[in-house]
Amino acid sequence: MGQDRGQDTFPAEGLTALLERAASGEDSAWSELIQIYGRRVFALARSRLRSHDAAEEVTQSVFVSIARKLTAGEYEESGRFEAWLFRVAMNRIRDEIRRRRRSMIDSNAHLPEPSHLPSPGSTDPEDFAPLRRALEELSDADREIIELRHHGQLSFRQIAAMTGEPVGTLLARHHRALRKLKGLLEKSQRENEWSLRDERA
Amino acid sequence: MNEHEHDRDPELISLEMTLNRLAEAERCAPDADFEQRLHRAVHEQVLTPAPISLESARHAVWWKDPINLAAAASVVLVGAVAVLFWRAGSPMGPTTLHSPGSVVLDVTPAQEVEQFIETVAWLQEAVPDLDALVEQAESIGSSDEALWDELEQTFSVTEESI
Repeated sequence: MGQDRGQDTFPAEGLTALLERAASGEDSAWSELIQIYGRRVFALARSRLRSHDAAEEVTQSVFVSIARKLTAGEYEESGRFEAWLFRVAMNRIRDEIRRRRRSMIDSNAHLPEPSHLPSPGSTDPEDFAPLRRALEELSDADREIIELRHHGQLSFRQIAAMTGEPVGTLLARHHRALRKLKGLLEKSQRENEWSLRDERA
Repeated sequence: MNEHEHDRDPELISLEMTLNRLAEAERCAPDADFEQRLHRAVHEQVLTPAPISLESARHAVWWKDPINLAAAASVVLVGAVAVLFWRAGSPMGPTTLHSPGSVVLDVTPAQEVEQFIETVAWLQEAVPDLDALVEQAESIGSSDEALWDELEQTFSVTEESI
């Protein structure tokens, strides 16, 4: 805690050199980029979409998209690669959420709350269900900053570069989002205690 | 700049640690081949896009391509128009097209009477020996009667002999 994230993941040769190799279509460079960022993008997508398959599909689409742009020379490295990568990822995730909402409206279906669905192949050492439910109750902006920070492992400076908002604003929002999350968790805990008490009575 | 203004709040620190564990669990969720699958997708779709496979070519039916569909519709339309023109000009076919788009020449009653008179006049000139034809027809009728008389007589004779 306390250190800026993202920086410790840079390869020894430097991100710029790695991106140059990737832009020239070098397979091993793409392997490295995927190794560094693949699971971070996946975790962000999975937290938001609550579906393993959809998260992997989105992650693949993100990497294919940035590979196209990099090899076509449409990205110019200026030290903001992570911000760019996660911006592409967030856009894909938002597209997927919109697509799901549309299909729900089209089919007039009422899907169950994602948080109540069992996590496929879950090997959670601890039960994260209350935390996941609480995250889903946050506003989009609050949830986004928490997920970018913790699931995407981005620093506040990288999030600022990505969203175009001042670091101070983001820090305050993160702090506020954590407080709301804490409040939601406490509320959920209280409700659970009451229901247990009712059952016993 | 201190990015963690809530560092002094132990409850928020604890929550952040739980969030980090959740995030770690999400990052560990994919299997060991996850990176390979991502790499394969990038490799196949961007770095070395494969030429169109026979399988996909077989599934790419021509009528799903709007250009092909438009070309086929044009050929059918031109063909249909050609057939209609050919039939209109053919001695076997109708001479007038009775369709909303066709043009029919109007003939006045006076013109119709004139055409009828001309036809009768032509018939009188071309088939002048009508009386001979009538006589022949009558003779056919009388010969038939004689034949029936003959048959009746034959039957009665036969009946008697039996």
